[in-house]
Amino acid sequence: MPRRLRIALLLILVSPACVFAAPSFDREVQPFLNTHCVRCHNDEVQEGDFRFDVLSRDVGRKDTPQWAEVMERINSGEMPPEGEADRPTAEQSAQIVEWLAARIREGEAARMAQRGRVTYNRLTREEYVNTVRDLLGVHYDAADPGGLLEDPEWKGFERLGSVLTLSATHIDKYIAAAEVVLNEAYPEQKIAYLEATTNAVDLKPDHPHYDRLAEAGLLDKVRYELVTSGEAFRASNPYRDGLKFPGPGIYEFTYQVSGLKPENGPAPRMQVYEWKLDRILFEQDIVAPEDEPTQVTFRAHFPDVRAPSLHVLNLTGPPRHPRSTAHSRIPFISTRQERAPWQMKITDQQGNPRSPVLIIDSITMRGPIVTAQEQQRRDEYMPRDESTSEGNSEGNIEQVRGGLAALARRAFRRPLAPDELDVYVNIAASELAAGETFAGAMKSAMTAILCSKSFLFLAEGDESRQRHTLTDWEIASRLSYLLWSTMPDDELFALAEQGKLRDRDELRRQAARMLADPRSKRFSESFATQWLHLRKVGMFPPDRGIYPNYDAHLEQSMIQETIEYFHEVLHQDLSLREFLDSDWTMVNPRLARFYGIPNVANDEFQRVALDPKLQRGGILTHASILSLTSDGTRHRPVHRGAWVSEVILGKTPPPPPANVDAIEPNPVDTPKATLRMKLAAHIHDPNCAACHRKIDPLGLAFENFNAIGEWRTHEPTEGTGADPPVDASGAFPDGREFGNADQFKQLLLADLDQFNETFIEKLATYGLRRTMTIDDRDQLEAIAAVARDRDYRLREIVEAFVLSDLFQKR
Amino acid sequence: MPIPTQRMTLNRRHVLRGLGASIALPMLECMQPSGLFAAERPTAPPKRSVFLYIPNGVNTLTWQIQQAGKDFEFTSPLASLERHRAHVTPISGLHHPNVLGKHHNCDKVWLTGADVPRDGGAFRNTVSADQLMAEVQGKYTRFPSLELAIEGHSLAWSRDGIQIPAEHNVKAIFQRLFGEEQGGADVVRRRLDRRGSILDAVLDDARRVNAALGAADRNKLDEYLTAVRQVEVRTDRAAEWLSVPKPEIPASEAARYTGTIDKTLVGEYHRLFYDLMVLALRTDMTRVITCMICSESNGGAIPDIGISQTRHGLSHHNGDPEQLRRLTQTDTFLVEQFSYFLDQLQQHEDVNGSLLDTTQVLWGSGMAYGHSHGNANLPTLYAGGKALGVKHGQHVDFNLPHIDKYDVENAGSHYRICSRPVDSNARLSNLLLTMLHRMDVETEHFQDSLGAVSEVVA
Repeated sequence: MPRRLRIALLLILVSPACVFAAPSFDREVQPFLNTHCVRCHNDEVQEGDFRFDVLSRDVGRKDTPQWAEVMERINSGEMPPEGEADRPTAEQSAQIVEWLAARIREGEAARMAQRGRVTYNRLTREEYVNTVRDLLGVHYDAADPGGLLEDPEWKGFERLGSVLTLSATHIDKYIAAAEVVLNEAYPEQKIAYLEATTNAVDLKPDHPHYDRLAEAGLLDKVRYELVTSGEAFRASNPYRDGLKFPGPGIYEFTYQVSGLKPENGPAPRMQVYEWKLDRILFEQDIVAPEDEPTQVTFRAHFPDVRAPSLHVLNLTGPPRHPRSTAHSRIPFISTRQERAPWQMKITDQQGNPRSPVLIIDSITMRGPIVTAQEQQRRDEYMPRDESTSEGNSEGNIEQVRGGLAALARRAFRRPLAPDELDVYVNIAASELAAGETFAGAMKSAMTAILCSKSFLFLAEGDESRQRHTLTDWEIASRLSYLLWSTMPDDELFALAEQGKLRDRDELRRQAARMLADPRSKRFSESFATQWLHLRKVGMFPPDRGIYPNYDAHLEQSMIQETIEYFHEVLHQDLSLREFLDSDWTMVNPRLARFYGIPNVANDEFQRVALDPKLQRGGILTHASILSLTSDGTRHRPVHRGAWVSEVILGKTPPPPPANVDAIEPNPVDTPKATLRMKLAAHIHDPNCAACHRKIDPLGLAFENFNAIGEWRTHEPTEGTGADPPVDASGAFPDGREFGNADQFKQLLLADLDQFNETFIEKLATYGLRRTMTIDDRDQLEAIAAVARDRDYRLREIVEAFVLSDLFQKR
Repeated sequence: MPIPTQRMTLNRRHVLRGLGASIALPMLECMQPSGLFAAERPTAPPKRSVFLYIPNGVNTLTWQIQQAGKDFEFTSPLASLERHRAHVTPISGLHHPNVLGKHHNCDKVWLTGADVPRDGGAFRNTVSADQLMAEVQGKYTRFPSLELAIEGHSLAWSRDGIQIPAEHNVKAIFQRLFGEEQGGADVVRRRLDRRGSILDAVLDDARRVNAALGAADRNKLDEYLTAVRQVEVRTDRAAEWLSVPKPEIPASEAARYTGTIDKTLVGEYHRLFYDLMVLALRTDMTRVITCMICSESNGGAIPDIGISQTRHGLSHHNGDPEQLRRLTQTDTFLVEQFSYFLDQLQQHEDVNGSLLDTTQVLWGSGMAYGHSHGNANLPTLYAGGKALGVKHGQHVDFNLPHIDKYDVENAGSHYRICSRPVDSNARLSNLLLTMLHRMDVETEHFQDSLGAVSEVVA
């Protein structure tokens, strides 16, 4: 390849900033068209009814469908047609395809980033839930059946204003959600806090063992043991014997339990499952000796007034076996107690448990739990003299206005315009006139507020004039939804009111305060999920036959590792380098077992040192990342490469052409071949190879990891002979070679600036809820420069973004 | 057992008693079939459509019917359709040009044919054919359309290209169709009134701002306004139908849908869904139904016949003969359930013949050769609808005129047919256009259609 051409290719592939360099159609594209295309597609001859002379040269902004077609035809090798005397080389075609693809993408980004006088960004489902919680102290179960719709995503990002659509169904659901939330905040009958406790087992006098145990003084020593995973403890609702379940709200649960862990096996894993809601409320490994039971406490939301229906399961117990206990009628007291002779022993000769055993003593439930602040807010919106009689209280319209104003101000996250409240007050007034109760009338008006555009959308800009910088109120929301995924708190509102949020020192203080707050975990969770496409983990559940180690707990642990890892980098103010390679990671016992890391006992995520032999440093070799690029059965090197290219290098590879020949299965009677070998045989077409050579190596570096991210040296596959060894070597397009994932990571580290730029672009996309365009380049570079000066430390980067000019602009 | 249909229970007395002052609303359309306005309108038979989706394609090697025209033999997975030969048309060679080679989005565009970005970029769907039908036929029924999914998600997309959520829960579907409104009609009416004033208020508020904004400048706000207005129409419609009692379903029949249901008996579970669809059609609660049978990513295991893998897993068979055998087995199973559905439709009488004659059914997948995501030559079965002018009894094949004959022994060559269209004019949108015409939707095009499929029109 001529040296100059090679450099041009490299620039396009490796540097997102360079793609923004002023594109020159005449220099890059016209000569190719002149040589290869125009002869058959001009003003006189139009093969296939296609001519170039009428197409705009403003590629990406004009005539996009036509240019996409041109790209597609060249990319597939269909054009110029075979038999043409002077056909371009695959490299030349690939260069044109990449140029066209980059322009078309820029055009798309510019369209998506377009802003009118007011930008309306709809709250995501997650943001809606958090905001309603802050507003009224009610948790809304948005992901339940009948809840809110899932949000569409663009390259993993779920909060881009241009992508978040709204339909009639959304409105239907917002109305239903508002009604549920308001009914919980303002129940028709007052709901009182109530605590109830029940023992796991209370023998009745007609129980065949009652008398025997009563005589032995053991009646109150009876416990409930869960030895197998096929059995559930169903005695579930503590509100009994005259106690009534109070109603919807947040409840606190306490279980007194023991958990016996076999010496070489996992601890019993306790799961609390709400049967009617079909929801898992709690899951944790339990380790506590029989004679020293522990108490586990957690909170969960109950959406409606039905009595709880809680089941407890021991997930790590062996499968149910007719003789394992088959829960006999003989009440359980202790593993030291004699078992019925036909039952399998829970313990071995030494008295150690043979398998994980979970023992339950009691369950306590208390609630609903409403904090003083939440109650105060609710009362503020619904001012009401408790002494007035129930029912048709006259309802002072000034009271109505005061309450609704308090709600609307916070819900709209800004001061109200004059007369803005009138439509809502009118609802309450007409409801009262129709004979509705004061509370009922207020709730109708509140429902309207919660379904209004000013609540559902984060609006930036004025309808009456162009404005390019944000107001203090808009900054408060942008900051709050960035770091907390929710509405601003009282302090931010107060600062907005005082007009202090455009002051950089104040902003810096606020960013520091907010990052120190536990709610900043939402940023780690939400941003890491969207940037890294974590939502895709488990989209195609791995085949149980091939990956018997895989289960829901592992899947959840994989995702959580990456989130916890991000949070650790953020909170320890570590550098971006840690994302590419590290000597530590975050694991819980389940993941430690999966990775082969010893001595992780506590069931929580904890930072552990990594043995370099494991090759798990950084996030690229997290099980989550390696899984999300696979399809449940096979690992997919091309997808892995495309992911690295997009997420780490900031470069979306050109799309594959349509109509590619299928990869035919490996016949079972031929020698075994790795996917890599089949891929190499498949991509014999130089047109495909030109592009794949740049994408595939970025994924082939991870050949040592299978579709769920397990380490391997050989690839199990169909066919005859021994499983072939994997080959994780490769070379970057510029020729730098690597032998495995670790060496690959070192090469990425050598070019940290590129990752830095990519990361900042992703952060800005998330924070500003729009795609970045050429117009943002200078401001993005300014943030990148600060990041370089601060040794690429994550916290500093987030701060630099918040303090940047870009952050204050619409 | 006689179950009164919605159509018959609807008469002027009900309407006048219930409606009061709001009688001027367009709901009077819904009374048309009762003969109230018979003098003004031709009494056409009701026209119904059902769309059924299976994921991940089929084992195309055993599926492919070899002969075109009337004298074709059903292949073994399709054998159960022999008894419906006069009412069914298998079609080979169709595809959606916009999604070729684009992986698992094919379920989202099966009824829309929209363009999916190849790189996972922002995807905006377009309206699905069933919704266009619902706009025309839906005004006669309490529910313009019904979106169901045994597994997975909805096939229906609104005019804004937004997915209309599907209901999975049999009990919930039954309640929605035939259950009493909570609190009785007066309470519901009160609730709907209240909803009306809430919608008015938020519309007012948004309109004020919209007026101040420039016309080119209010994309998202327009979207909001459109959505709220649509909900207003729905609310009005619900209020209008309040006065029309729902058909009473005998307790023994109702119990099947409201009792405990064992989802592990997949065959029974599928048939329960099909029965519920038949019930909804014969009571004229709706005339347009979409239903996804299994999910594209993680559904479709059938323990009944000893298959515990998902269809997605099976479709990535890697050429393993055992996996291929099982895939054929699940194909056979799914077609058998479909045949059962046609049985039921045929057993029930409708105005002009059987319910099968007034109902056209499309059964198929957006994928053909799942292992490599080949989505040309889509498995497609078209059934019923004779009273709508549909003609059946042959295998319509768009491949054979170009390839002479099939060679499924040579897997590679057949897989190629299932990955790249043989006839680029053989578009699934042509069939959808044909079906739209059968439902009186007046349009010359649907997505990238080139014209109706004349072979299936009487």
